[in-house]
Amino acid sequence: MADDRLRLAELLSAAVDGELTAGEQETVERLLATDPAAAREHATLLALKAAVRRAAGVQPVPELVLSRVRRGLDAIDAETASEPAPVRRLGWLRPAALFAAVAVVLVVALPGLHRTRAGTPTVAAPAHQARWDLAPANLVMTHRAWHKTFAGQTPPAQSPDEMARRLADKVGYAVAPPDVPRLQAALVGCAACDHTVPGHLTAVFVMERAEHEALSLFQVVAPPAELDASGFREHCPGVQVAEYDGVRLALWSQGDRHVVLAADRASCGELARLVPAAVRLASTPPLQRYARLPR
Amino acid sequence: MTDGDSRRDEFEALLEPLLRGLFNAALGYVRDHAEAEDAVQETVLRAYRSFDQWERGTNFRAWVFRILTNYCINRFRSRERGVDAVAFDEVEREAELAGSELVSAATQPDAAVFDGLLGEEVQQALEALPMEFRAVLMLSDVHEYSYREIADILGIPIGTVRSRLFRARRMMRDELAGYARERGVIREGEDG
Repeated sequence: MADDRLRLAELLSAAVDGELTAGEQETVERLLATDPAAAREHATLLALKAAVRRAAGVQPVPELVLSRVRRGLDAIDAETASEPAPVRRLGWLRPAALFAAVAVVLVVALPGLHRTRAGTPTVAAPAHQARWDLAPANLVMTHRAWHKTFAGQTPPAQSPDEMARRLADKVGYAVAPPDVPRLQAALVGCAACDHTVPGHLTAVFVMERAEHEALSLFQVVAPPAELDASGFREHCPGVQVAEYDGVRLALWSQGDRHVVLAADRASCGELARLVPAAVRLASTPPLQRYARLPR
Repeated sequence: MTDGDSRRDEFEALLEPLLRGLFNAALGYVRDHAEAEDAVQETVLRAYRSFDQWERGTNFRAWVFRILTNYCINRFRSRERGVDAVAFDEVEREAELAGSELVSAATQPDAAVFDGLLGEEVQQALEALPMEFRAVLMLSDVHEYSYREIADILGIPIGTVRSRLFRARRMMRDELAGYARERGVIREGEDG
């Protein structure tokens, strides 16, 4: 009996969706004609269905989504069109580009540390290598940060606002250690990227909080073949190289200043998931909070 | 025109009419504007990467919605896992207990009551549903998919679609009955 009633109740639910077989339809029609409770239940289900539809509403797709989607499709097309680069598993960090990456961190984000390392060579800007049409292969920073780091070089012809917008579009997640008041380590996720990018290295995210608020954060990406773990260590002795979940990571911290993350192959989205575990591997305080960067 | 161009053109032509539905479906799933934006972007990019795997002549809309739905369910399942486990158990038990009567009339609002509720309250009731139930309700009631299509999208049998919808509606009514009582639209113990 109870099973029958349950089945009938389920039939009434299916009836409002027009999903009954001919036999079920007959049963329901008979029920509605003879059972006031069933008829009321049917009317209620119809009203509920309409209420859900009304409440859900229909909103237009934000233009930002459309632009992000277009950019992402462009990136995939460009990636598909490009020659696959040979992966050199043991040579994934080469000093020049690595040095640029680390130097960007040091010069822009950690001026205090930079002063303590007076012997650090001048930055060799990789501007000519930057692929502004490929999000995962870009070096992105604000105009101000660019000039501060690569003085005398001309960045692509974009206004600061345009660059900030590009950056905001690319930002996926930031990871902030809550117990570090002055510095904020941030993982800048590329919004167009949730896949492994063989042949590229996604790296490095450090900023002072004030810099963060001014959107002077940056993302350094370089082909892993151009970087080398030993080079990383040479220029940044605190770096540790660890492997987690098949992804090799370079991590750096000094006291409570956590900096660096580099990976030989991982998308930003993957890095977002790896950061806490990676940082634990390096015996630094876990990065506990994921926060969306301001747009 | 290169192969890549025609592939892109074909993909965009198929996708364009679906974008609004995708965004609103994502919004319904995740209830957060920024998360919905991310979900749509990820869905589109994943679909584009896998476009060669889509069989021409099959339902592109269902294929893309399946990507979106799986993304949202996986993305948010861990967040809701504790809730889901309880909810599924409760729903199973409630479904058995409910067998003795067609509706539990004392606690269920009737059709007129829904007019007295705000859209926000219905949205909150939707949000309170476990993801699997919310997904099936959204796909059916908002996006008007057939049970067959929902089954394809979610990768579950049609019978499960039907029973989940039934249970989702039962949960919605319970939740909305609470709002209705709070607002005096129905009184405790009143026959809806």
